[in-house]
Amino acid sequence: MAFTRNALLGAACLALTACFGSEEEPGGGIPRSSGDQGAPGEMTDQAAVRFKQQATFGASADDLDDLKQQGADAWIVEQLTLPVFPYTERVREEAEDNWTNDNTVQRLFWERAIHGEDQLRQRMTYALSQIVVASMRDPQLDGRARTYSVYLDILQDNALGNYCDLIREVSFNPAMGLFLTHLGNPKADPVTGFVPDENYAREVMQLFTIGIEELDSSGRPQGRETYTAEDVQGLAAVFTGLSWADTDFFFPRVTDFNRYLPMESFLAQHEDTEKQFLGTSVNVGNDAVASVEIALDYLLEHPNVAPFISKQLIQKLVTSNPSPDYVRRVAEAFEAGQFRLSNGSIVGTGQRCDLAATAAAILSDREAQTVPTDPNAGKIRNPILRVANLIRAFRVEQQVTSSGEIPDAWLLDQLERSDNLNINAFVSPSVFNFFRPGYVGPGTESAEAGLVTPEYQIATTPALVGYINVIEDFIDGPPLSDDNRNVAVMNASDLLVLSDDASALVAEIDRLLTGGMLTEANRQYIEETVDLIEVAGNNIDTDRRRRVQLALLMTATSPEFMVQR
Amino acid sequence: MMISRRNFLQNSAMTFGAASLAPMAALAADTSGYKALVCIFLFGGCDSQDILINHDQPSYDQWAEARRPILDRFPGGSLEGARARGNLLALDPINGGQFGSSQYALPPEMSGIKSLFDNGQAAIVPNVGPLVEPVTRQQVEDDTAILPARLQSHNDQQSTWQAFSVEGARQGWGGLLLDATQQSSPYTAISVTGQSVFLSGGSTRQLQLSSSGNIERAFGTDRRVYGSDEVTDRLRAFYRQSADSVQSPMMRDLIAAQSKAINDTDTLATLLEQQQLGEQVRLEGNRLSDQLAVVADMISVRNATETNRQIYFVGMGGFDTHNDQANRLPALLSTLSEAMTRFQTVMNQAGLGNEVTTFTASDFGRTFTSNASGTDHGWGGHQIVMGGAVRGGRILGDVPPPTTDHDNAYRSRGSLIPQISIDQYGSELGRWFGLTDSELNTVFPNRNRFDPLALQMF
Repeated sequence: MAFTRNALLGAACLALTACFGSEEEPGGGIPRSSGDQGAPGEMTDQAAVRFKQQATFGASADDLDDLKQQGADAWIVEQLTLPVFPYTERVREEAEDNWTNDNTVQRLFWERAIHGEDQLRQRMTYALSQIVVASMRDPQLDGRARTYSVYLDILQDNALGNYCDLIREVSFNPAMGLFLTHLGNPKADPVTGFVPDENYAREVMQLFTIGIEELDSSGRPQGRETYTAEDVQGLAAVFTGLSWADTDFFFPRVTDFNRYLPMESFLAQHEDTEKQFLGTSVNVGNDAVASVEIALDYLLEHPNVAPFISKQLIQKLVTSNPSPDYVRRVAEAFEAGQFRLSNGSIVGTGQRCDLAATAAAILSDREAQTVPTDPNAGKIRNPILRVANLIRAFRVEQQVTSSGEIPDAWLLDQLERSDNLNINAFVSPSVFNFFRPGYVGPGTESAEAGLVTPEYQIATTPALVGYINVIEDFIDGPPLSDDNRNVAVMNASDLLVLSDDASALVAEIDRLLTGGMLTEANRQYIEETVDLIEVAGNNIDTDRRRRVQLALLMTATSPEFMVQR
Repeated sequence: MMISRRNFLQNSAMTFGAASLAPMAALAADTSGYKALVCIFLFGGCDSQDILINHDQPSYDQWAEARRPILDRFPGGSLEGARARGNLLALDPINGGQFGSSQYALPPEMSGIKSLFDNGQAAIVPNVGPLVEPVTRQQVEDDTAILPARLQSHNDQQSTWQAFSVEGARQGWGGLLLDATQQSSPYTAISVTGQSVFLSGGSTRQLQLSSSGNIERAFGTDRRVYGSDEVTDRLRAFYRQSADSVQSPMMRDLIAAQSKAINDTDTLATLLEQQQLGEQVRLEGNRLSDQLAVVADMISVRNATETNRQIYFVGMGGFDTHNDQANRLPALLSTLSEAMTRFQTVMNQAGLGNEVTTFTASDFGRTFTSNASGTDHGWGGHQIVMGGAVRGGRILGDVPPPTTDHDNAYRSRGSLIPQISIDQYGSELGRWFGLTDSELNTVFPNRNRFDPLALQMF
């Protein structure tokens, strides 16, 4: 069996971890935090802001105070206990009275991103939606918000659960089946000669599980491709005979019943012969569900899965070019399914692929917690995260709604327009997301330095200009409806109090948005510019507001805010 | 070992690439007059065996039989739908004699391209794709072929088509062609569909434009803000700050890009405001035509931007037709054909018909045999080249027969082993663009492994 050797290697890694565990104590074999910055009462503003940029959609002054008091470890543990607000029920309710589409789920996403207390779950959900992509921009999913919401709930439910479960569920999800076309994929037909659709078979390997090249335990490519065209063809036969539950395979009727159910096995349409791929075979007759489960189990056992997914999650949360050791440490937590934080708390179920353990390992690693001296560390922040950070830092507290009208999100459901940010949640141009983890910016210094810069892929001329304008739009504020139910409302009145003193004003904005990372030169430049707006004459309220707005705009367009170090 | 030999070749290709940094040879590119190349990238992998269709009765029957499951799904079915033989647009190539009794046709959605073909303004280049060296079916079956890495992977083959290596490539042949023409203008490489490695050269940097045709200006760059000129000036300077004091290359890259975006939008907003040419290209509901409209506008200000060599990159998605191809692909081909035709017509009217050459590219071709309602990832594919300078009205190469067991069949499903490499395809475009042979050799490092006279595009 092809994997036997690899499976043994995986086991050996775990054993090594255990060997290297330095302290003799119960649970000594559990991968543990290499960082030490998260203790209660000991976090600096800088550490707190940094942590919140990695783990959440951004922090307000109150959020930072709470975190510093609580400590990062306790915060992580608490996040795991918070209730989940499902998408499906909300969209189902909305669809009773209104047309629902991508904007519907985007408004719900933005409500959660800005106002959800379950920030870690939301941040992980968004990261996963960019790795295990199904896009509402696809014509097959256009207007199918109810179907899509089930996919989102799979991501959201498993975001701090189990990645392997997530892949198993997503593979039977009709939205994914429509997007990657294995819904309604019939078995080969000897009469006409057609063979199964290869789409899902290829992408589930290339993007969701093992990747295209064999990796070592630190995520470094070994120069060997993981699968061949024949493997894709073999696995394609596995993904046959699945369609909407309880209807006709070829002429399905989608109802309020099967819309929310996993795809179901159609015995007559599943390839019932032996199916070979990657040196294994699946031969359990004509039950598609059974075949797919066996095939996925086999794929998910592959030793690539842990470093492949761990590295991408690190890239989404912390840094574009993690050290191989960082990837290995996180991959070990993914493999072990458990992780010990510095405060002794053990996170995770102990089941392989545990994402709570993985997230904890990513966030409490010393490479995440320490402000790097290496100039190459860090990442260009996805503009979606920057916009969210700005709004969240000055948000007007709202509860995430569990029923009733879906709140307005103003411009937030239009950010994908090419003159805005050219990116938004859930509308990727393809299964390859808006930007690739291996993207190298042509003609950049980063490229010269051997760095990947995934987010640079969306830094196009219109989107760079659009970012400045979008930031200005939010600082200026959305038009308010009667009930103020707009998730994008900002209240910067705390800053107005400081506005007469440019130095204090800029220092506070710098503290909140960058953790005090503005260079001396930029801080001084912003102060001097703010001071050109004198608080004098007949409109001192306007003057003060302008001073705050200008300081916010300049900080949000500074390199120190746009790049996370 | 196949793998180590492949690695060796990749390494040697990189060495060739480095040679392009050497001082220019005495023979420099001919940059007289104005010329532009427009690349239309068909994202997702276009099923070009549904563009160039076998039309003589026996070949058509074979083609249709292999694709019966798709043809049956066309409105009207196999017998009366858009792929019924009688509904196809028969081509009468000038070089028809080369094909013996074989005849070819375009689908009815592509009547515009058919007219251009008839008028000698469009040609089909069959079976183009990435190759390291010529490859035979036997070599593939014996596992002795040196193949490009990661065939059939979307992102990697998009990158390979544009830049000869997989995801992470840094220089594309569009950018390298422009490098050789040594333009001083910053407006030589223009993408209307996002970042494109195709347009990145050693010194060439690309500009991206929005397909809306509007040049949005950043807040504070086109009008006074906060009631103060001085604040406005300082804000604008802040956007364009030098990040010299910053150690992080990512910060410097992003600020450099932001700064360039502010400068470019400043210049172009004023320049493009008055342009009318693009409006003639724009077709209601045709998003490719929106992008080509921006190309037309930029071409119309070529004197003001002081450039006489430009390369444009536009694209459309949706070609990954694994299912429902009968409904999805005709709409895409219609969009493609109508946008291309309108663009050429407007270029002709503007007296630029011979100065602009447009060509298609795509991740890969697709399997010849179908799955139930679509096709899967392949390798080589047919491309369209359009413009007054093109030796139009021709099929510029051999067309593989409609079977799965011919000499250029790749694996079991009749994907195509390319017979014309991207090096050859690009070299012809580059030669027309004005590059010398030695310059073409540096842009296309594997070029000399292929017959330089096999493809005569101009």
